[in-house]
Amino acid sequence: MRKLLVAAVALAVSAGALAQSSTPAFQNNQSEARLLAANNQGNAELFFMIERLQEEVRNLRGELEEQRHQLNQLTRQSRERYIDLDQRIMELAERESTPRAGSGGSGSGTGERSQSTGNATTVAKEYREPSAEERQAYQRIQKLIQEQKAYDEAIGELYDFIAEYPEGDLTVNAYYWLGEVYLVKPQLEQAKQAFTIIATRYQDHRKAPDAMYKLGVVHDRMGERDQAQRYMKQVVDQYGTSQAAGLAKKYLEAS
Amino acid sequence: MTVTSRFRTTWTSTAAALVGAALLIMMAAAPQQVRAELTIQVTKGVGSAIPVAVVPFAKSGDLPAGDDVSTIIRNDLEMTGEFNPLDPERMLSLPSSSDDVFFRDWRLLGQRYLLVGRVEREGDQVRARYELFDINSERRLLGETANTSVDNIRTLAHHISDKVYEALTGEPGVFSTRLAYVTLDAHEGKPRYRLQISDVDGRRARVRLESDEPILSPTWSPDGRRLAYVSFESGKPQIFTHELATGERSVVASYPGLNSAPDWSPDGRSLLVTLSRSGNAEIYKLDLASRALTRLTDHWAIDTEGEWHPNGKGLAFTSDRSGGPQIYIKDTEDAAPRRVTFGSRYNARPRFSPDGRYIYYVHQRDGAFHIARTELASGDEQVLTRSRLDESPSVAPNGRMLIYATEQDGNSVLRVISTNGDAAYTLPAARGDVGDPAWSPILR
Repeated sequence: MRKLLVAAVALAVSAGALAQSSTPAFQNNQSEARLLAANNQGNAELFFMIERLQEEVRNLRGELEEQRHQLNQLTRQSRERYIDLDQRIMELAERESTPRAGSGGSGSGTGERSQSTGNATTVAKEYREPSAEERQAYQRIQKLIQEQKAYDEAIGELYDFIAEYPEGDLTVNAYYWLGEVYLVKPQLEQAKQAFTIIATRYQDHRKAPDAMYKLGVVHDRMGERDQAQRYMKQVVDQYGTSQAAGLAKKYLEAS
Repeated sequence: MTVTSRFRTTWTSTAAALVGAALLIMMAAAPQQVRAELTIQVTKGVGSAIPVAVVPFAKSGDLPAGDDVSTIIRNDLEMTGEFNPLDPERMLSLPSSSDDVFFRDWRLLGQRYLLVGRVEREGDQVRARYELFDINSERRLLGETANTSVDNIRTLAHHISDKVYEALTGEPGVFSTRLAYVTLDAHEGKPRYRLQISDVDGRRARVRLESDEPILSPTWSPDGRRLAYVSFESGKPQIFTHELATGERSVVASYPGLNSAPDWSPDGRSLLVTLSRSGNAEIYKLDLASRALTRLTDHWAIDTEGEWHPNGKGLAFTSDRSGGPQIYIKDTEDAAPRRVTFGSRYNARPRFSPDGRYIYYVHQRDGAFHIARTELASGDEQVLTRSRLDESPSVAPNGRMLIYATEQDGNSVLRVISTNGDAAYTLPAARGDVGDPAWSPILR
């Protein structure tokens, strides 16, 4: 122990001597050589230190950039969530302020309500047959999408259509097209929303297998392969005979 | 060092060159006679493709066998994935002009559009008349005549495909554009690199440069008349420009160290290049007339693979200043770079979409390399490919398709996908490997 201590002191002293000799009053060859060696060693140490610092700065920079990015995303998301919530509250407030007599406006409204309050074990749901006028409106939107490719306009029209003719057979189709158009745009979040509505609320509708398949496609596009595969499997399990199940199988085989 | 892919991205070669590793390119193919052409394989179609009937064109006069105009058009439309051409064997009639068209026949077959036409030989010229119809509205959408010399029938067919595509989608077609790429095979026991240019369907390939040493990173001038690329023919990397009509070449960058990753500016006057003359890889603007250099990045990390924004003001590049390679954008030459990729630890080789809305790049996830894109406004990332060793993306000038290099059965091949990630076709080289694709601008 003592020996070690002595050695340490000796080292400290010699280091002190070296430090001193960097500003010598006089020089001989020997002290110059020692100085050079010390410099070289110092340079090498400095070099390694700089490399380590650079590495650390790069990593810190990476973390900083990623955190700034996450912060931006969170800010954006919370703003979007606020706007969404605000809209819903406004809609609610509007609905509250209009008197109940409004149900006379559409015959289907009462039917839908009785169904939800009746709450019997739901057997295959009957979808309201579309009126001629409704059919026309729907065809007009299809034309917008398929021929004119006016997607933004079509999105607006689809929302109007869903609001105007709720809970009908074509309403589900409208949700489906909404999903398709968002997928083309691509606004994947919105597409996911639209397809999810069908896959959860209208599971017995004939568009449901397609919607669930597309939900898988949306997740795949988002890079969420596991989710995509889950939906694809669900299509195969739940709607084995549908065309969508065939596509889903292909997807599962390819992945 | 295991070289999984024979054409590695500039990123890896930059990094490798900087740590002093030699550019080691391994050889796989046995020495064999090389056919220059790529063959096309459509691997994946889309369910939502528009049904279109391209009726075999009526022919008169002595026409060269092999290149059938309507077959070429049908293949062109099919490879976009946006159209589903009807098999001629299912057609109920074979009209060649509007007088013979019965729309209800085509409605019965579930077709949306119909293309009819005839091809005639007149001396050294071939003339094609064609008409395009909307079957639902029974309206004529196009009716034109086009001429070309007899040996240019494919040019004529691609021209008609462009017109049809534009009439039906509103976007310009890219069937008359060209692909530049590098093939690698063995020649008398030595590696042979060939810089080639072909049609977008891989046909009519012509070798523009051959070398025992690597040729890398071809980039087109905005007028499509010149290429710039990196060639190691002198034993070290140099950047050349190459006049395609005359074959005239000039060395534009031959600095000590790296000379790599050229990208031609939208105004045609300068190249972005990566040089390590200062001891570290940095991006410079090289003025082609004066050969003056302007340094655009200044960081002790590696900066490389610069690509001009289509507006010619800003640029994207790859830098490892945050640990691993990531893509940064400078909105102007003087602006501070901002990072745009966050999805994983490895994002490299940026390419803008022609409208500047998206950036495409090589993206590593779970040990595999894919092509991905990020919408710059929203930051939303989308992975477009499923294969595992994807690299070198290059976007078609209409932004609808993208070509990249990948591996198939142990060889490097080129694959084309639509940018919505749906359709795909593969262009494998007849022998050996092919990589570093560059899609030309629309040629006037």
